[in-house]
Amino acid sequence: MTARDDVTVEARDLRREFKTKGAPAMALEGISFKVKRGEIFGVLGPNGAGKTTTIRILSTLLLPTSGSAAVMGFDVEREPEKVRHVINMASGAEKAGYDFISAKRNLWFFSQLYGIESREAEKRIDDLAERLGLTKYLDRKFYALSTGYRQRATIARAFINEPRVVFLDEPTIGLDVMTARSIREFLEDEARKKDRTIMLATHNMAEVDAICDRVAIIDRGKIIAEGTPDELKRSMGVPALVMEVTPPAKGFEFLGQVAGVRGFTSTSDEERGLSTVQVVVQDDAAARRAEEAMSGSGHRIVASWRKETTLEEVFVGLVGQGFKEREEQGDGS
Amino acid sequence: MGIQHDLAWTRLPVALALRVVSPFAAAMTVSIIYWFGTSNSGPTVAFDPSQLAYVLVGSVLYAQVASYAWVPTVAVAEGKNLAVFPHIYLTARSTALYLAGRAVSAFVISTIASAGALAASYYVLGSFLHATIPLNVTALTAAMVLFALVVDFPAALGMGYFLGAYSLYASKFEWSLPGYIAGLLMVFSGALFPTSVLPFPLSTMAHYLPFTQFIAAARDAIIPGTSGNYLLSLGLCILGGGVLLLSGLLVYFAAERKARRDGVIDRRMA
Repeated sequence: MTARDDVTVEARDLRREFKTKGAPAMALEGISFKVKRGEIFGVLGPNGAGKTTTIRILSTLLLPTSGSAAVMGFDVEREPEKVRHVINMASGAEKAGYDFISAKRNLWFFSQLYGIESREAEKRIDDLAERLGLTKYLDRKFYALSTGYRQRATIARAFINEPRVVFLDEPTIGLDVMTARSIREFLEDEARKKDRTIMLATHNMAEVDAICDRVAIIDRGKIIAEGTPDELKRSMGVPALVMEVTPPAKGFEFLGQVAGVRGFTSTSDEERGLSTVQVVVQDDAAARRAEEAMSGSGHRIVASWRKETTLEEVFVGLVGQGFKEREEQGDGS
Repeated sequence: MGIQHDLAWTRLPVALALRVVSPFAAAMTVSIIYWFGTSNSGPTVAFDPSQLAYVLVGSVLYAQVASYAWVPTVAVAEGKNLAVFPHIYLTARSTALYLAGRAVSAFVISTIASAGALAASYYVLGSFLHATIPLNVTALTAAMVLFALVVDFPAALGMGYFLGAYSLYASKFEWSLPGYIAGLLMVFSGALFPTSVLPFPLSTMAHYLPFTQFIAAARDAIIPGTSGNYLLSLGLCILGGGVLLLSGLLVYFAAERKARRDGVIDRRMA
């Protein structure tokens, strides 16, 4: 197998524009990336960054405006039928299924659309159900399943045809910790033991940190960083600065003006009368400037220390403060 | 699975009742209107049981076609509403094959239901109006009607693809429009009155519609003394059906491609 054969998903200068009443909205502005066989590839980004658009194009639900993409070497625009033979996809937000038949019948229905022989389909359904902890609930009507079990059934559907590449859009959104963890374990198992490529669009930093081999951070339709979670954390330079300050406050926007500060998050604890501010800095000098700015703003620094950068801090640092405002304005695609 | 789907996932007796009531109601309504009209129009228009047979057969067969021709619309609308349609789209070359399968299932159910509705209407109207409705039901004529139903299937499926193409783009409750379009068939298929009474050019267009020819062939088979030509009607139905199916498929494929470009394949309906 050549290095090129090892690439299962490839996007080249992918662009997608949506017509709106005003100016056309650019959902993707020329993104390029490669995903290797058996890799879990995370796509992280704020709302409207272009994650779902990317998944929709790669899974042949949407055509790109320009650029190209291939899955297992098949062009998504010119050879969608071939792409569909080797992929599947699921979205955590939709819970697709026929309400009035059981989870098992829903899975069987899709297995038949893939032309899987009935006995083989039954075997696959039982196997997937067992691994996803769904066996006891297989005969329940789809509408009667809890959110978590519906989502397990949705994930099972995405693997029923034994796809080489699976696209998942927020697969654990709205799930409790245990359900999300069991789905993550299942996904890791599929990638590591069965060599399936999984492309995961998510907001969930912990999820990406836990299972993704590589990550692309996407913002406003552009990839702004790509690498392994560790590489991305190292790229932030130095450990983050954490300050506990008093009096508690909500806005620390002045930190965004400090040279070398890449981003920050803050939480307030009224009972303790403190705000905890985490600042992503590019170097030690920037950390000192951030402390000076904090003192100069009228807040008293009760304690400050440095901690290892998390993926969330990398994300905040790269996407920046504009992210929060955009989210509040509902600027999404 | 398709049959279950078409029976709205409910129990068989309930599902069949749901399917039989509609054509039965259509047949009873038009038959009673005809009877009432002729009974109150004086000596100029007398009640004629063979005319009753005409409207009875026409209304039941119209209901049979209308109930499955718009199944592709329902399949797309329901699929988009439950978010399963995009996943069906991802499993096959296109969803056209899936829609054809759903239409076949609906055809089987609506055919059984229509036979039941015809038998029930025949019995009830015969008792109620004390009239002998001239229907010649033998194994041969029943087979001829069934054959006509099968021959009409491509035409109905073709119309289904046209309506399904529209449904890909429909949002909210716009998807119900094809149901009303199917209702127009009652006017243009000679179900209740000859197409010749329509103004030109509608009369000519209606005459060559495959649905008109199919209903005419079925009448030729089952109503004694009709002046039509069973084989000629079927031939015209096959020809028209072929054109309708081919053009319906082309329009559906084009709509599907455009829907992918516009990003509406996975857009929720309501």
